[in-house]
Amino acid sequence: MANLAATTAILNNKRHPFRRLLRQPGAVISLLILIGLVAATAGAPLLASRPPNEANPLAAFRPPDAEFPMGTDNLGRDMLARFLYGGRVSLQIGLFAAAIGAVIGVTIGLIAGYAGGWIDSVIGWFIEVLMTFPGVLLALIVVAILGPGVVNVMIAVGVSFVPSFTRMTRAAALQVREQDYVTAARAFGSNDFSIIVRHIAPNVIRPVLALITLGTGSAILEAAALSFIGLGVQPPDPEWGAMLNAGRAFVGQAWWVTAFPGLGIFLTVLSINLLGDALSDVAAGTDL
Amino acid sequence: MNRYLVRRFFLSLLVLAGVSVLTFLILHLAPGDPVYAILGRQAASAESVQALRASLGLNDPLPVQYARFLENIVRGDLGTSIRTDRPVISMIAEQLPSTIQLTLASMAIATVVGLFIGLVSALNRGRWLDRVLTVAIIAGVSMPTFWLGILLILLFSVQLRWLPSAAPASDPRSLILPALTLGLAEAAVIARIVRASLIDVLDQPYLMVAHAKGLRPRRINWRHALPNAMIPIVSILGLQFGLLLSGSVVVEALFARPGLGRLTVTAINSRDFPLIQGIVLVIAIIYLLVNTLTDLLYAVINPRVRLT
Repeated sequence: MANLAATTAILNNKRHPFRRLLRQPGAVISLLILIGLVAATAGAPLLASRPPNEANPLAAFRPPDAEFPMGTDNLGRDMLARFLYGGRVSLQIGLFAAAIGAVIGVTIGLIAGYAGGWIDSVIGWFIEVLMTFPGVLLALIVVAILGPGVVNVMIAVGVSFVPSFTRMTRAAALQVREQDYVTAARAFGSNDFSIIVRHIAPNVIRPVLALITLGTGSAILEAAALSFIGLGVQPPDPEWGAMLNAGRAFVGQAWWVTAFPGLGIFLTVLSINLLGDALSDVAAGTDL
Repeated sequence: MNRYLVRRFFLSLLVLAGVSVLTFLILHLAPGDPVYAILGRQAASAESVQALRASLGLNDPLPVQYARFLENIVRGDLGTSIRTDRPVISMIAEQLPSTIQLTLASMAIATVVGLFIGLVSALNRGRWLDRVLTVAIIAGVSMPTFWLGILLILLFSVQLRWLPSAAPASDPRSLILPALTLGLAEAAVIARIVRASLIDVLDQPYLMVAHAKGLRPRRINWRHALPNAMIPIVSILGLQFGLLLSGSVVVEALFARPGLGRLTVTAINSRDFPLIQGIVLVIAIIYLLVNTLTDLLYAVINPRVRLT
């Protein structure tokens, strides 16, 4: 009976993945947090009462109060302004990086998974080689080649996500390729390009989308880490990772200088991870 | 088993060949003339450009340069650092032990804490304890290591005054906070996988049989469920090692701890390409070795996947 109910639920809900997502409290809360963070950082010029780089030595290390809701740093700069403008940069780098990784990774993955044979073997070998540079090392290599800087970090983090996105897409495409409707399309004389675009990609996208969402969280973490070690955004410009690096010398004197940027990264990534988990549940049908 | 070993060995060699090509190309992929990338466009005089070009052998065709690069590596010569004029291999050899120490210590913390939390969470599936731990796990996965490290400094160095935030490397206490930072962050990842793996095993029919036979739950968990749940976990140990090794870049910067990570950042900032190539190659080879070993271990404990 339970099985029958679940099956009926899946059949009834198949058309409304977004509505199913909104039925999960965790997903709704994280969506709201994300929308709030994006709106606040996008509206930085309206919300911040001072420019983020304006120093005021007389107001150094002011704890949070009505005038400075997030306090001030060692140079007396308004931490709220820096948090908002810095968050803008952090989110932009992370999102663009994830997008770069997703576009390249999904494209290569689709080609490898659909083509099979030697094309798949060569791509697989190349991905294997890239994966031999663990974690942040691949991004570091790209930064080493291109030089430090915001745009280069964006590209570097994007490239470092290509191997995992390619693998995921390839695995999903391999399964879809064997489906009857693909064979049918081939029998009708569709060419490879149209089969990939019209039949493989749409059926691969749902599971891959969940993993890309999770990857976006990791991309934001990795980009902030690169700025933290001084390879991304350069001072005095604010960015959450760079702000943590600048503030770590003063943890004993002024907790608020590192607390807010840290919290910003943490909340963003946590919300994205919760959303990604909910999306995987929807994609796998385990939310019903 | 022998066939698997041979096959695995040749696959690793093939990947290693790719790694060496990519490492070699780091210098040549830099936009513009690599000599200018190293010297900086303004400072370079025509003579210094020629001298560096000759000393790096950049006048030869690429395949010749690559062959020489390989030949030098085989002889254990990773070139000379542009910044310090010292052999790259000895600069790496000086910093490697500290990073390996940090990696192993954090791996021990990550494995013990991750296993414990994952097991407790899975064995209490659906109860409040599992819910609390699941939230803690996802929070841990979302935590930036560098912020976790700052919070640990705030707690243990500033508030409680138990541990130094930075200490000479000879002081064993200098390892505790960095290892804890890196280890706890990775523990969340391990706990997540342990929980999923154990829950998967707990739903298997043979455990239902064990229950039906009237075995005590404790015996079922320890004798039947755990050993099988451990199999996927062994396969990710190599991956974890690599993540911790590269995670040391951030943690060493945070705690002002000497090591390969800090050397990497200095090398990138000073565009010291021979040093960058050396570090990248050493880390990739270590990682490849560890991964091959874990794969072999995996094949030993799990006879089902000997040939893929």
